[in-house]
Amino acid sequence: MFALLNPISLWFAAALAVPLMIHFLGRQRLQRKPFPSLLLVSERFSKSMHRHRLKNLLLLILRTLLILCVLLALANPALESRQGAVKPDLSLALIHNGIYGRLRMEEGNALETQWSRLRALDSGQGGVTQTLPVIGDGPGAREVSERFGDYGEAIGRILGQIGMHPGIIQIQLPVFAWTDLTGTRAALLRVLQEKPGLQLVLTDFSAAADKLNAFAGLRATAAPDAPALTVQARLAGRASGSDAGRIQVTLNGRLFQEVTPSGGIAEVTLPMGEGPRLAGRFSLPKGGFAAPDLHFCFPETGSLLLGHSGSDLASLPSLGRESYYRRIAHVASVKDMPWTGSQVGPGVKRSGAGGGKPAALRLAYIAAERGAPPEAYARAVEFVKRGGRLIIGVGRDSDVPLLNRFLLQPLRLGRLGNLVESPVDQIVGVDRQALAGIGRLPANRGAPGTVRKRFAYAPDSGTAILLYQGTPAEAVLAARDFQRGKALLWTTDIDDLDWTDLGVSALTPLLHQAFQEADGANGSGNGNLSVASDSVYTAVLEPPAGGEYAGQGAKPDGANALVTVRDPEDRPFTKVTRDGSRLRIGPFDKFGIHRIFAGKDTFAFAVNLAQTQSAGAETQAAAKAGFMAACEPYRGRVTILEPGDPAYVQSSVRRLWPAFLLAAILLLLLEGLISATFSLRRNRP
Amino acid sequence: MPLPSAISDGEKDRPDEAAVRAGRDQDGKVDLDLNAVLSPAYLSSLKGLALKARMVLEGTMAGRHLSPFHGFSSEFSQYKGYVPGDDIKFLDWKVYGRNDQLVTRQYRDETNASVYLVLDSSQSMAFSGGAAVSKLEYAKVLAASLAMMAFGQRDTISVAHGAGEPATFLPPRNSASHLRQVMEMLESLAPGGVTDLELLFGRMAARLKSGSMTFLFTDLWQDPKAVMTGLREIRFKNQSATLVQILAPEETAFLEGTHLELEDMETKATVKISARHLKPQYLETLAAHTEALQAECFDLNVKFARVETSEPYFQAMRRLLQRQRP
Repeated sequence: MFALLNPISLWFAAALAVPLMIHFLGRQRLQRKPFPSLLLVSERFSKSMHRHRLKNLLLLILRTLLILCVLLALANPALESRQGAVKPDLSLALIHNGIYGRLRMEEGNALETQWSRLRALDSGQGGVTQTLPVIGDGPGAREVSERFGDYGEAIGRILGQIGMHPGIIQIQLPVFAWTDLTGTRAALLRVLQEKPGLQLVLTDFSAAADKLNAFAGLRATAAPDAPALTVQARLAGRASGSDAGRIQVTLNGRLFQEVTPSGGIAEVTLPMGEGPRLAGRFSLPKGGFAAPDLHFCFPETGSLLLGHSGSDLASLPSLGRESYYRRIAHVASVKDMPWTGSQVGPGVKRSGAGGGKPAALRLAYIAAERGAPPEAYARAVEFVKRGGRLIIGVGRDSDVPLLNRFLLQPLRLGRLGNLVESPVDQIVGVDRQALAGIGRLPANRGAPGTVRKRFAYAPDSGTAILLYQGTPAEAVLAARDFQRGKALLWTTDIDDLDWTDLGVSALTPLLHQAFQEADGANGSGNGNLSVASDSVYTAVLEPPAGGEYAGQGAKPDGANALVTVRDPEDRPFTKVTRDGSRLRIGPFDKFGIHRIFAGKDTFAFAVNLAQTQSAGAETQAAAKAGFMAACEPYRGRVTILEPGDPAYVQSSVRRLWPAFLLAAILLLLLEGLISATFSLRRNRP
Repeated sequence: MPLPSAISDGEKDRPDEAAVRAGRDQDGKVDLDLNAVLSPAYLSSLKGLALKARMVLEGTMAGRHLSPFHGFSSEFSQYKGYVPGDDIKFLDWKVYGRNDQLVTRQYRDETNASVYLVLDSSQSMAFSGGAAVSKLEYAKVLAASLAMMAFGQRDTISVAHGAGEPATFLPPRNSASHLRQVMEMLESLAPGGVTDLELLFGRMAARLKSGSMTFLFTDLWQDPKAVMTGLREIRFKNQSATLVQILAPEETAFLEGTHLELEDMETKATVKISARHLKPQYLETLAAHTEALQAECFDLNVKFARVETSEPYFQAMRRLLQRQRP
């Protein structure tokens, strides 16, 4: 069967009209003219005219054929000769255009490979394939993302929708992680059972997905009182070898530092306070893979973050940075937000230790940007009422009247006025006693910094001014206990989550730490560990023995005591070490990276130290084997192909573009030959 | 039609014979641009063939310092011994004084010549392609000019025309009324018919008197052999003959354009050609055709002159009046 593998190029078929238009437009209407005598206009003249017209006609045909051949060559024609191929009535291809699409394959990346396979498949079947991007990256991606929460959910819904379609259906399904199919396996099997005509073609990209696992370990140190952050990357693959040489660390696409790995671990110290870092990467000098891209994400401007459990992100490791932002915004608006207190979000289990303890979210940060819905403010107030601790940041883009009405006044924090800018930096003073009320503070701290811009502020009675500026004291940081919780308000101009405008940046982790420790000091044994402005982990600390914390299964070891930290879904971090005022935690994610955030003065990450690459591969292999075993009753209807596997379509396809290209060249030569021949004949005496 | 710039503004409104004469200085030299004044384009705006002919004639003779009106009659020819009976007024007394011999002077105009003007009035002569006048119109002006010249010289004038069989024939006469008749006939001449020069020339040859002069105006669009057959008969009876080939500019330079359907004006046959591509071939063929005609004329001692309808009449006239080869 003749098919075009690149039918898009047929849009250029309009070029065929060019020689025809030139021919017919250039062809003048025959003009009748009287002439005294045709004595000298002999028959030979007429023959010459015939030759001229014949030449034009031949050239027209040749040029049209030439363009046709070039077009066909571009359209990549193929001849499918496979015997017994089943032509489906409907071919459905799911395109996974999330972060997995960026995985490097032998030719291009995974997304390009998907499209290439899809085109080949579709051409072989006569263009009946419908495509559906599962994870959107472009305009409308948010809607797609909201329609289908994740890849597995998308597949499940699509399978449910095609159940009524008559005839033979073929689904082209890229598989990046067999574990992703676990949730949809039941749906697949059910449709296979109910729909005899269904054929599944799965392209196994999971080997490439394993590259994500290569970045098997990352540790970081959030230093509250030091403007530096140490990141350790456990390298895998070629990068972990002894001859790997130096590893390049890039941030935002620029080379940041070259480090020499030691024991398969590369460590780099990132300076804090030098602006945002959006993306980092560990790579070999020659461009080889050392670790996958790390995305240090910030919420997009205009979003409102009321905290999130982290589990949502953990369940979507494939989302790219852009989708990640959207995901954050999405989480902020969902109804099943895992509130602290008695309400528990779906999938969030109560912490095991201490029994009956409130789960998950304890600290939230609000970037009160314009466009935040009042409902979110109401939720924030509710959050504080139920014992949450809330930090409110105000910026020039904040909707101050809305903020006053729906957040500050309900919390009895007072009112914000206009932005006041001083010509010089104003040194910030500290009410240490009041500041100590929210947590334990180092005794030897100096001046916290300076502020130039702040909002005029009228506090309510009962509001404590923790940081102030000038005389009389104008509030820079205000605090108020409200029912079971506590709220802090930055009255300075904070434009973004980097807080780059905030001269008191060093205080931010201090406040996090203070909240955390104040919570821990309640004696409940719980500690809210906030390592990022927009994420919260609940650290379940064993009661200290001998004045020191002790981790499960390990005894306190001086400054490095092992502790158990659980994420909001109550999954334990495998390794969290406490190093004085620093805390090091490990990730929990089946692909190695749990999540990573970075800010000027905050840094959060989660890397699964326990799960190695081999473990991930084993999990993948087990999931694949399980899936194939389940598909055994449907033998012949489920095909699993490697990305470059030509067995299904390409082996039966004979590509014809070289033939058409050769024909085009021959036609070009023939055109020249004809032109030359007629020219010689005309000039012959 | 606007007057050529060589003429002053005051004379623009009356482009007549006076305008031509006004340009003549005391020495009789013409300081007008004859090319402009006597061009076919300009003269075609005038009415009256006689007027055109007179202008052409004066323009032709202008600046020659010869009185065209003396003609042959006053030209000395030879001495002859006196014999009794000769008119003694022709005795040359100076010779008698020197040599004591009686001789008489003889002049050439002792006998009047007959001038035959034969016009090919076939349909092809109606072609004007690229010029202001048709070939037949051009031929009429030339013929009228010659007729007036001959009348002034007391030669008899005969005019005939036709495509094949002569349609009209005015026998040779020399009178004012005859001249007027000639002019009227020329003026009323209309093209028509298919060229058959062999027949036309043959019929005319039968009517010619010996010793006459014949001017044949035609475009010669016929096989040269057939033309020469008729011409040979005329030459056989005539003292001198001049074959005037009149062609339009589009016949000499050929047409432009790529998609033309040419229609033969006489036979109505058509042929589709690309003039732009076939022009070189046409010009070659035309040159060969003309060369063949010239060669034949040379053999027959017939003067051959080709004129183009875009050139001024007086130039064509001067070419026609150049002395015949011996």
